[in-house]
Formats: sequence, structure tokens, C-alpha cells
Amino acid sequence: MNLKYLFLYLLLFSPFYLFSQTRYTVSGYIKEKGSEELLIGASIAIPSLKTGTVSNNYGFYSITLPEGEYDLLVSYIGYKPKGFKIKLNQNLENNIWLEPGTALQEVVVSAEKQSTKLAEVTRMSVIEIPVQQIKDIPALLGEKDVLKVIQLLPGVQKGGEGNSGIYVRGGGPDQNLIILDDATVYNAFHLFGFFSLFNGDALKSVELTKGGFPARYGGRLSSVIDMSMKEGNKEEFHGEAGIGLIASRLLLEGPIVKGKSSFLISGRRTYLDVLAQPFMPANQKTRYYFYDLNAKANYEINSRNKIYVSGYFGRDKFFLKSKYADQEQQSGINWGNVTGTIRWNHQFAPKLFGNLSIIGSDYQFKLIDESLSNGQKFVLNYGSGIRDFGAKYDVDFRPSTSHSIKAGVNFIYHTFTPSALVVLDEFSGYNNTTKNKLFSWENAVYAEDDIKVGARLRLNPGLRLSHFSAQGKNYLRLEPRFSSSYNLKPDLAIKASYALMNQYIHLLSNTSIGLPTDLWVPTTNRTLPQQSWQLAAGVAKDFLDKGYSVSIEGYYKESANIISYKEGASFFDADPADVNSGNANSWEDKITSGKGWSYGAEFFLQKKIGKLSGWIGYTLSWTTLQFDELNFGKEFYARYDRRHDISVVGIYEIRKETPEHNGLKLSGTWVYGTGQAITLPVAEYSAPAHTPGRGGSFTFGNVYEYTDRNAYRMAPYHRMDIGLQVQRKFKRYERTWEFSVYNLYNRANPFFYYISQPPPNYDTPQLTQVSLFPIIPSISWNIKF
Amino acid sequence: MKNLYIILSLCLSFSLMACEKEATIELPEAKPKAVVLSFLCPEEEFITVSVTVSKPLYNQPKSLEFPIVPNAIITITDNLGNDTVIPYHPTRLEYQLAQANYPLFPGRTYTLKVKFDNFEVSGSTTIPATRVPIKVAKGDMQGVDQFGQLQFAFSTKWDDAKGEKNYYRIAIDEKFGFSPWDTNYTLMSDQFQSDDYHDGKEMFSRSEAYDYGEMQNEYYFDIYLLTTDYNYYEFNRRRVNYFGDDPFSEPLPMYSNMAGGLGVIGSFRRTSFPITIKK
Repeated sequence: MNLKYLFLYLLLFSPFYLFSQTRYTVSGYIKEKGSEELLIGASIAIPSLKTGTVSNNYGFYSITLPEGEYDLLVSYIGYKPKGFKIKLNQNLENNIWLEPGTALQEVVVSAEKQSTKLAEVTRMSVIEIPVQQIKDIPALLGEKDVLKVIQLLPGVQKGGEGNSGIYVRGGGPDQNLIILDDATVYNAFHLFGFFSLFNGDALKSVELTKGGFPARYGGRLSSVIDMSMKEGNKEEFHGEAGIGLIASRLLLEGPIVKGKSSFLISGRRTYLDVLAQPFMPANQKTRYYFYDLNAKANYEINSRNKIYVSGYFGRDKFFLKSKYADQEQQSGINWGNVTGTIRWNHQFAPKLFGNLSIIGSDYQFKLIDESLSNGQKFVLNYGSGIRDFGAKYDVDFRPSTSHSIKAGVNFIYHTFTPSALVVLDEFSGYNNTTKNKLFSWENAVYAEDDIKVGARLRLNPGLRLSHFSAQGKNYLRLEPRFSSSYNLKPDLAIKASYALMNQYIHLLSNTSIGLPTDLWVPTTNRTLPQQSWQLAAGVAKDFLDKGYSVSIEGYYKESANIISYKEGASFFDADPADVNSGNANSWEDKITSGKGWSYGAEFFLQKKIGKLSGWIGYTLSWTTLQFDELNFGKEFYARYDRRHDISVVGIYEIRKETPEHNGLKLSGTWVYGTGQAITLPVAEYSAPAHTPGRGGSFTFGNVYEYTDRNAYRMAPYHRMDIGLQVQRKFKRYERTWEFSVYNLYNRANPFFYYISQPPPNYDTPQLTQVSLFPIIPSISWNIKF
Repeated sequence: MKNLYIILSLCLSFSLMACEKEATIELPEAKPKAVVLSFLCPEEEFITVSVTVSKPLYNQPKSLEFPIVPNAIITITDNLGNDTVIPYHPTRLEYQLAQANYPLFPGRTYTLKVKFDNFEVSGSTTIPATRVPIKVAKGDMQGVDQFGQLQFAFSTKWDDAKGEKNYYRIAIDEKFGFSPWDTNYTLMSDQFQSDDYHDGKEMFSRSEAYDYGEMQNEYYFDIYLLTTDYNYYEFNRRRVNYFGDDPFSEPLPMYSNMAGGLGVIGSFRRTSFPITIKK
């Protein structure tokens, strides 16, 4: 978009002409009664004008109307709606408290975000996931997992059996921007991808955006997963705790200064290592554990200023320790994220709200190998990581009921450490310390406006100017964004969107399982920014009387400069102990760039309220890739290309808890997906490498002839999980037993295939399927107090 | 690093719970193909070609043996139309032709055609015009590591020929034996580099080698710098990096420029540099 069009747009749609009329603004915060938790996305309607607004990410709302008397209706799923009159002859500050309740026979969700009507929202390709549903959906070993619930949504594929990696509309797992309270989380996995970092206890809202990205988001091609943590109860001290098969959790929240300030702290740790210790030999120990900790505090300075401090700390540790007569050895790998955010909300005026965020994010991976032999020490420490410091300022300006303007600036200073190596060998006297660091700036400025044109048409044009600077090279890119919605009926809308995205940082991965050895690297002189554009169109319909909504969307996406390891290159072929890094071992020499195409259609039926809630999702999609240096330049299906993907999620409240009876809630999921694309060996032949001198060759044996890359399919994936929650309220606490079964009908889903030579003759090759998780029952015990 | 592999293996040993069964998916069908390997070098005495046949993988007993095909008719032709037949050498179990009878010339393109039974394959290579010399080569003994191995370090420098696409293989042989009639060589290091982003610049290779042998007064090494065509480079680079059936990484298909079959015809120029390292 040319800049002159931007100015023209500002002139045409400028809301300032509205100031010539006598208008006043009612503004304030929408809060939960009893805890003061701010409610995100609550709806404020003025029925007489058939207009309204929603509260923003900080619970703030603002609506400007001509002078007069109005009825306001405030509603939020899981809360009793509230109606009241206002006389608007001056600007009003009016905080609104909603009481958790069952007036609409809805599921009560304390302080968690619920959506407005789908047909009334301009944006498309956005799914809000009620946090309570994340807690209700059965999970592997009972560990509730936000990313695994996101995998159940249409347009999202999972990486493999048990894996939390997500692939959105054909994009790779590095193309998802995962944000927790404005901070980017770089490696969102525990236990090599089997569990994600986010257990749901501390979360207030989770929103997935798959397309039609508003201008405020940038830096990734495929999706944005925006999560907000709860603030903590400002009135009373409360807690939650849970004991599961592999981990335990604890959450505490309460006031620091009653009514003004609160805290929340939530932690989780696995304890298999502790339980296994007694069974290990004294001179050899193996331990694995992970933990994570969320903490948040806030302080309301006055009605116009609030401060929030929040952080996430998580770490996985795996190590081996052995001790023999004259030798001690310890080896391990550990990795973890730390994020921290300080936010200052300031309300400049009734119509103008601002937020400053100071953000830090750090992801580090470390490999340690140390030994002490005959009194001499050998140390090998290898590390890689990415560290960000950044700031962003966002304003939310609501000049009238027809405009909702968001604008802001964003600065991030990245420090990449693709490899840091320390080698100390006392015996040979060899010492080497190498730290390969790369620094870059990633900046952006954006503006967007949600515009109502008449009663039926909504537009959300936006523009983002992104900038990336590394190694003296600057990239400056304009990213136009556009979403629109036209209401054919009040509950039926057709929608369309366009988004151009740039991604300046890349993840190098040669596997499908999200290992911590995957490296984050920046755009450089040689490695260009990834870029994509996406066009989407669809229909959304609300069935208000039945409490559900349906959407059908089609999309087409093209990506350029996406990167991959060259065939045969990986983290492992650059042995960090092998300090032979001539020209050949630079990560840039190991990668190649290519193009991607993805298109498909998604159907989504969601029911958020009532005794039965859940969703049905279906995706029909194609994803192909082309790299000059992969598959000999021929186009091929992405590994995660999935023709059909179905998910059914149901949560049924059998009965509410009463003094006489336990509350019972039954939940279940069923998923089906076309098998992952794989490359299979077809034949074997003798092909020794050439002997360069007279000393022979390192290679021996035979090699396989393969099919074209990803030309075949694994067996289809399908699985059913069920869970039953039994709730009981006591005088001082409420407890829930949860019984769940993962893979109820014991489907042997493929994890990988390999060539084996099974008995009785051990001489005939056979393609063998390895499956990971059979039927797995689990039990957990949770209390709230 | 081996500990890392152990740890990763343990992590993936969630497969303690894993179960295995014969795959029930559609399997690819394959027919046997002719496999031809030949690497041409003007600095060598002979032109050699090996011919075998591939075996489809599934539903038949596996044999590690791939016997040489003795009845192939192999012709080699250069881009000026000079051609000849390469005969089978029954004792060396390969097809062999002395360059005294058919000399190879740098810069020329050679096409190999191979026919036998129902197979017919062909491929071409252009011999690199430049034979890049080693500018500096150094070697040094680093000591004995924690596993009791002697550790050597080597560095090699050469100047890339500007304006042309070049591929290099750098290999180090250790020479064993104490008399001219009792000498053995072992490959100690093998690297591949292209001049991508380094056109016309000084190129550099550093490598380490380990030796379990007894302490000697002197150690003898040969450093080889091969300037290769793309076919030679890509086939051998992939072959050396081939690890077979690793379920956690993408398969590495072998490179081939033999139309109608598998294998490769490639070419290279060789220079070498002897190094003696004293204790």
C-alpha cells in the first residue's frame, strides 16, 4: 500500500469530525464481582442504537454516544448479564462488576474469557478457547495442555503421536507466534514435545489466530497464540492444587492490598525422578524432571493507572551421573524458558487507553559432558539460545461506536547464540572457548481501525511497517492487512481477509519431534526473511437460541524463503566437540530456502454454553513445498500435509453438584487425521563412496533407494479419549477427582516406521510400525480452596 | 557427544511403552535397476567402472551381496566424438581401461553408456579444468585424549579459482608400515566443501584425527585436495553422510546422474601433500 493511500484513508475515516457533535463517553473496566479480576471481551450493548463494544485485553471499555439517556446491557458468558440506565450529559467513568452465575444456564467460568457472537466480529480465522474447556478435556496422563487442545481445532495439525507441536494452515512449528502476557515463548515444550509449557491453571484467556492477522501482530507467518495470565484475586485468598500421575500443581492467589493489588503464583513439577531414585544403583543415577512456574502481581495506582508484573520460568533437566573406582562422569542436557513482562496501563482520556510493556524472553539449551579420570578433568559445555529485550507501546482509541483504532510501536533486541562451546581437557592441556553470537533489532509500527460502515458492514484495515537489522543489513517491509465482514442477517455474516506477513527469525530443525537441539537463527545477509501472504473467505452463523455458532472458511497461502536443513545436514553433523569449523560448519552453509503453498477449507461448529459444550472441526487441506536443494528440486508434500482432519470434542455436565450428590462432568474427544506424509525405502544397492586417497573410505555397506520425498502416507491417525470429573464442595474447599482414559479403544497409531528383519528367518525385510501410546488410564485429584 | 545420543535415546524410550507390528500401509513397488559407479581422473592410471543391480526391498530374502555384472557393454565417449569400449577385468571384478589407451583430458565432457540384459543406462561428467594446488598444509600432535587416543590436528589452505563453481574434498590418510613393501594407509579425515559464498577467496579446512597406535617417533600422513565436479561431490557428500534408516530425521536419498538407473559418473582432479609429524 502506498503511503498516500494511507493518508487518504486517514482523511476519509478520521473520527475527528465527530467532535463537532455533542457527544459524551462512558468508560471504565469490567470486573468479576468478588475477585476484581478484569474480564476480557465482555460485551456492552446499547439496544436502542443497535450498537455496542467489547472490553479490551485489560478489561477496559469505552463508548461514545450523543447526549441522552440509554439502557446499557453488559454480558459475558458464564456471568449474570447486567442492565442499567445511564444519563449521558457528561463523560462518565463507570466500572461494571459482573457476578458469576447461571442466568443463561451457562458453564460458570471464573474470570476466563468468553467470546462475543461470531457474526458480530470483523476478524475471521480466530478461535477463542475457553480455559475451562482446556481443563475439562481429557489429556495424556491427566496433564492438561493448552497446545494439545489447540491441536484439536480446524486448520491445526499436530506433529506426531503425543507431540505438542502445532502446524497451522501448512506452516511449520517455528511460524507460530506464542505470546504469554506480551512475551514471546520460543520453545513451548517439555519432555521433547510430549507436554507443553502451559497447563491452564494460571491462564485467563487463549486465542488462536490462523489468518486475517490484525496489524498489531507480526513476526511469524502462520499463527498467533495469544495467552493472558490471570491477575489474582484482589479480595480473598484462594488456591488450587492437583496431584496427577507424573506431576503435581499448586496455584495460590490473593490480595496484597485489598481491592487494589493482588498476586498469583502457579507451579508444576514432575516427580518420576524422585520416585525412581531408590531403584537405581548407587553408582549410576539417571534423572529427568521438568518444572514451570507462573507468577503475576498487579497494583492499581488509581482508576487510570495500573501496573502488572508477570513472569514464566520453566526448565527441563535430563542427566546421567556415574561414579566408578577412578572415574566420575556426568552428562546432561537441559533447556528452559524465562519470560518477564512489566506493563503499565494508562487511561489518558475516556476514549484513549494506552499500555506500555517492557518485555524480556530467554530460551537456553545446554549440553554438559564432564568427567574426572585419574585426577584429570575433561569438560565439554555446549549451549545455544535466544534472548530478547523489548518494549512495546499500544494505544486503544475509541472515538465513536463506528471506530476502534489500535496503534503502536514495538522494539525487540535479539541476541542469538547459535553455538557457545567450552572445552577443557586437563590431560592434553587443550582449552577452547567459542561463543558465536549474533545481534539484531526487530522493530515495527502499526495502525488498524475496526470500522462499522452502516449496520451491516465492518472493515478492519491495517498497516504494519516492520524492520529488521542484522550484520549491517536492514530489511524494511510494509505489511498490509485487511479483514471485512458483511452481515446478511444479524446472525449471519460473510467474511474475507488478506494478510502479508514477514518472519525475520528462523528455527532450524531436522526432525519432526521438537527437540531442544533445534536452533533459532536470525535473518542475515544470506538468509532472507520468510514471507507469506494469505487470502481467506468464509461464512459465520450464530444460532443464538441454541447457543452455538458455525463457521466455514477457505484459505490460500503462499510462502517464500522458508528454510530447511539441506538433505543430510543437521545439528548432529556439527559435533560441538569437533572444533574443526572451517568454512563448512557454519549453520548458513547447512540450510536451503524454498517456497510453500497451502490451501484448504475448514468447518467449525462450536458450542460454548449449556449442559453440552464442545466443538466439531473438519479440515480439508493441501500443503506442498519446493526447495531447489531438497528432493532434487521437485515439489513435494509437507510431512504435515493432511488431507482430512476431524476433531470432535464434547463436554457434558451430567449433574450439578448438590449437598446430596457429587457433580458429574463427562468429556470426550475423538480425532481422525490422514496419515503423515513419509518417504519410504524401495530397494537396496551397493554404492560405496569413492576412495579419495589410498586409505579407503569411511563408508561401507549398502544404501536404500527411496521414493520421492513424502510420496507415501502413514496409516491414518485416530483416537478417542474420555474423562469423568467428580466434583464435591465441602465447607472450606471443593475437590475434583478426575478419571480419564487416553486412547480408549487402544488404537495403534504410527509413531514411525523402520525396516526390520523379523523372526523366524531374520532375513526378509519388513516395514514395521512403531506405536507409542496404547490405552492409558490416569487419575488425578484436584482441590480448590 | 555420545552421551547426548544416549540421553536422547533414553528420552525417546517412552518407547518402553511402544509396540511394534508389521505396517499395513501401501508399500512402494520397485524393479531392479542397473547401478553404475565411475569416477574419472586424468591423474590416475586407469578408468574404472563398477556395475551391479539393485534389489527391491520388500517380500524377499535380503542379501548383502551385490555381485558385479560381468557381461555389460560399456562405452565411453568424449565431447569431440572419441569413443572406446571399457572391458571387464575378471580378477579385479570391475571394468577397467588404461589411460595410456584412452587418455582423459581436463575440461572435456565424457559420456558413459552401459548395456546388459534389459538394462541400458548413461551419464556424463565434465572433468574440472583446474587442478587446485594446496597452498599451505600443517599437522601437529595435540597429545593423548581421555580415551588414550593420540590426537592430531591438521590445517589445509588453498585458493579457490575465481569465477567458476568449485567443489572440494579434503581427505587425510595415515601411512603405516616401516618398509616400502609393507605399507598400509587408513583414511583419518574426510571433508566436503563448496565455494558457495567464497568464490575466489582463500579456502580453509581444519580437522582432527585420532590414532590408537603405539607411540612412534614419526607419523606419516598424506593430505589430499580433490577438485571435483558436482556429480562427484554430491554423490560422495551424501554417501559419507548417509546413516540409513533413522526414523527421526528426513531420509537422505543418494544422488544419481545415471539416466535409466542408479549410481553416478563423476570426475575429479587430485593434489596431495605429505606431512611427517614427529613425537
